[in-house]
Amino acid sequence: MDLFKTWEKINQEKFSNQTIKKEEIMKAISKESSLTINELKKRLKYKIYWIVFFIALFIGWFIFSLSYPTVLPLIGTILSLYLIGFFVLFRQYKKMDTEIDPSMNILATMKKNKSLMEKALKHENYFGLVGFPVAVVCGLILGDLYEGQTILEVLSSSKTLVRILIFMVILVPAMKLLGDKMNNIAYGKYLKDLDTNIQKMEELV
Amino acid sequence: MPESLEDQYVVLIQQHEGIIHKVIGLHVDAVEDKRDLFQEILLQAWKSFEKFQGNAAFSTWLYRVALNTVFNFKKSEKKNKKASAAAAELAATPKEKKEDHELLYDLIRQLNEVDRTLMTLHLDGYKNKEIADILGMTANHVNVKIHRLKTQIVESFKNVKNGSV
Repeated sequence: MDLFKTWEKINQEKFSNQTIKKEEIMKAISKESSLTINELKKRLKYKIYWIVFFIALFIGWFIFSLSYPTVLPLIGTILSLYLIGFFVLFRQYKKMDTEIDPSMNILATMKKNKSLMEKALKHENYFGLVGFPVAVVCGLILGDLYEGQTILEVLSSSKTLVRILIFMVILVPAMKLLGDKMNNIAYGKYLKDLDTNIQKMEELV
Repeated sequence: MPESLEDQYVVLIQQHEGIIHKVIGLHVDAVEDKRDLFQEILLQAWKSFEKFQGNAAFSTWLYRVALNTVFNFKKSEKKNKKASAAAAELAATPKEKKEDHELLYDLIRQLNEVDRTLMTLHLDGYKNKEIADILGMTANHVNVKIHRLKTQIVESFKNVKNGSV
């Protein structure tokens, strides 16, 4: 059998041009991308919107609380964390726009896709693990500070400590597990397939 | 009046759309995935069309974009299971009764994604150096793999025709 001639027959029979209409092409190029990395990028975009919303909220809160000097460091801490979160996620978001070029070689694109997705998921995870608990704990303490208590008094209250402990021991790990599971359902198989194909291209025989 | 970029793109796609059908046909089973991927490839190619300098043939460039899109596209699992079942039913036709080109197509489809890509680029007449550039592998690696794949396919072909599979 001549492989090339046989392949030519397959080409003619199955993959010949079918004269796609201009309207179909125009419709396709005006659509939003459905690539996995774009799904994640969209998710990241909504998270960034939320962070911006909270940053604005905390700035307002900070200004409103200028006459309560004891609460300012706490609000400042939350605000700083959200600002750091914003810059990290925004940087990641921009990278997804600029670092992917579908005309690069396939191995390089797969590696870039995998690395960008893993980094985005990791940063989301860090933000969930650090930013969110710190913000909630500060929130739990702030209420008492507004009532005129000092930070030492608030932290020595058993009621506050129990609330913080329950939150840190039960809710934070539960949310982390849930987040990991949902990410695994959404992207686990995809990342594994990418990894398999990268390995196959890199292995020597 | 010079053609707009859009018009140039449309003409080139109409001349080479067979490449997109080929990449999709070889890598995807589910009908919905095929439709989504076709549109996605058109979109990705359009997004980087401005960067297409004409240093390479448009067909090679489009092949690369199409393969990149397929390799980075998340195929829907449920739909694929259904499609695989349908494909298995079709494959139940005795292989030795199939025509040569149908059998070759089946054998290529049975390879893993990377090997399938290597083999089809080779059969489409790309030199090993060009294949290595498209995929990002070394030319030596491509030589070794293609040699092994050709031997494997010819052997499988003979076995099926002789009825030993």
